[in-house]
Amino acid sequence: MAREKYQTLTEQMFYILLCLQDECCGVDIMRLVAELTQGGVIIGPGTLYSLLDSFVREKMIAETKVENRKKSYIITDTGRAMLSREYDRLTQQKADYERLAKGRKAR
Amino acid sequence: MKDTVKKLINFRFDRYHELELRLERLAAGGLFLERMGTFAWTFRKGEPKKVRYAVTYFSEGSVFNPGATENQQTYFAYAKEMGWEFVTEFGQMQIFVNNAEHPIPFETDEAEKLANIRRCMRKNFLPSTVTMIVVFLFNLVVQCSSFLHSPTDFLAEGYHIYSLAVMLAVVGYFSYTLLSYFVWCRQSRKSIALGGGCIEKSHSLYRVAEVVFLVVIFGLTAFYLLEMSKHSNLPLMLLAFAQVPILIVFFRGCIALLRKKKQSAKVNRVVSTLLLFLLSFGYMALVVSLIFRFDLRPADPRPYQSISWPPDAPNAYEYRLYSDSLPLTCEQLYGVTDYPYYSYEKLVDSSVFLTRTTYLQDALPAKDSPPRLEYAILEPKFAFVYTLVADELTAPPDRPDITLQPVDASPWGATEAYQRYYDQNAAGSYLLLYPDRLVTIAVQEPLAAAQIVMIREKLGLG
Repeated sequence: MAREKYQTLTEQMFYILLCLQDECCGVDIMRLVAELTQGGVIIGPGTLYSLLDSFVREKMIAETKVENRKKSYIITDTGRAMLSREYDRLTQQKADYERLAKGRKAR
Repeated sequence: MKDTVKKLINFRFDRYHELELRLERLAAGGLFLERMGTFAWTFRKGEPKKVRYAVTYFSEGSVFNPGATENQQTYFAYAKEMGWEFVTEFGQMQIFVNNAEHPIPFETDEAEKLANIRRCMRKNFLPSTVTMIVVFLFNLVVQCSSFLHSPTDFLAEGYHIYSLAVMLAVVGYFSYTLLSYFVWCRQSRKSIALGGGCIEKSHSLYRVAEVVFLVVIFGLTAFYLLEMSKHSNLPLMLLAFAQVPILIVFFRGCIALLRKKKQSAKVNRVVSTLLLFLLSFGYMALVVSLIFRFDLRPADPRPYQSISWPPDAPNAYEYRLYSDSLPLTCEQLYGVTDYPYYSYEKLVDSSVFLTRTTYLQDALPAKDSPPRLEYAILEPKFAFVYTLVADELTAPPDRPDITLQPVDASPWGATEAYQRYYDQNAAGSYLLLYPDRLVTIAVQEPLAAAQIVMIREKLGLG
């Protein structure tokens, strides 16, 4: 059941995993995502906690250290594979769009 | 002037948004939530302010925790980063406040939010609700077995009926709560799949159903207490009524003390629960000892005379001699004239289903005691009750040496008449069925024709 959940990633999941290419703590993830997307994607604190917790359970990320109650995480190979699959899916969507929608406009 | 106020706040976990809006309205009126309590919530008075509240659930949250867990502190840190200040918690429910007018929402992924709520409910709400249903169902089974044992006794005593009705209503309420939770989960899942969020606005029918349930439960409880008051006295009723609040205060006090002493959640849970069990038994023992020490038995409103019998005997018993008015007496039936120790009792049990009036004329125990007389008139208020009572009274007795045999009903003017036999010897025990009532008569010897005529006349039978 849990695996089915991550067949596709939401924007928030995608950006959290993206930010964890380097070791990062939860609070920094919130800031990074906001900067990266220029406020386009926001992650609420409750959602951030739930997602990080789920990702750890699914071994998509790993906890690296706890400093002053701040937990840091880094993406795992499973997480990377998931992110890569999502990237492929989005790329395929982009290609399909260009082939069909843009091609039609050009004609 | 006190700078805090207490308020009773009724909420449901799936109505978290309504609670958020209510807290925001109170803050706009100058009341800021400080603490959630068992009986009431505490609000601090202050300058009216527009703030935002978030009601969330954290699966590790527990009233037994000595403080915020490590994960909870991480959770609080994320919240603080976004301007959400932790206000208070009660078990898994956590409340945050944000002073910004348009803060970043606490939850931004509805699917995760629903998954989190369901996780929390599986840990707390579902087991406790199912336990309550099982406990009340068990009580219902006990009541039903009491009904099956003697429908007449059960239906004649109002408190049995109200107790059964209260339990049915409570089981109905908890089942409804459980069902509405599953409906909410299903609707929320559907809404999320279509790009929406968890269902935040409940249908007005739910509110109506809840109000109806609460009115019915409280109404029936009031009737139950009223009925009980006929069989009990005020101090005893108050003691029984105070049991739950007193136990809750001790239970919560123990939890708070152990939290203060920084005991682990496990130790706190075990010790507090154990204390609750011990206190429950202790309270019952206290009530029972008070009943005997201060004679808190139900007050008898009927006039009576106490007599020690046998007189001057070292092991004499205390007997009560009542002087209720009886329509038929041993004096009329047997011509007894010179016995001063008869007790004349009239007992009425009544419910919406059945009225049973029992008359008893009894003598004190002695070898040469005069005859005793007992008869009861049962007046069912519904046809099905008549059938139930008639079936019970005409059922074959448990003992093989006793039989209930039909006898000629015409002398009684009844539709059916039965007489009890002991080893084929007729006894003075009769059951008479009339269209609107049933009558039982128990005397020491079978009745003569003239006595039957007198009984019919005095009791207005047939």
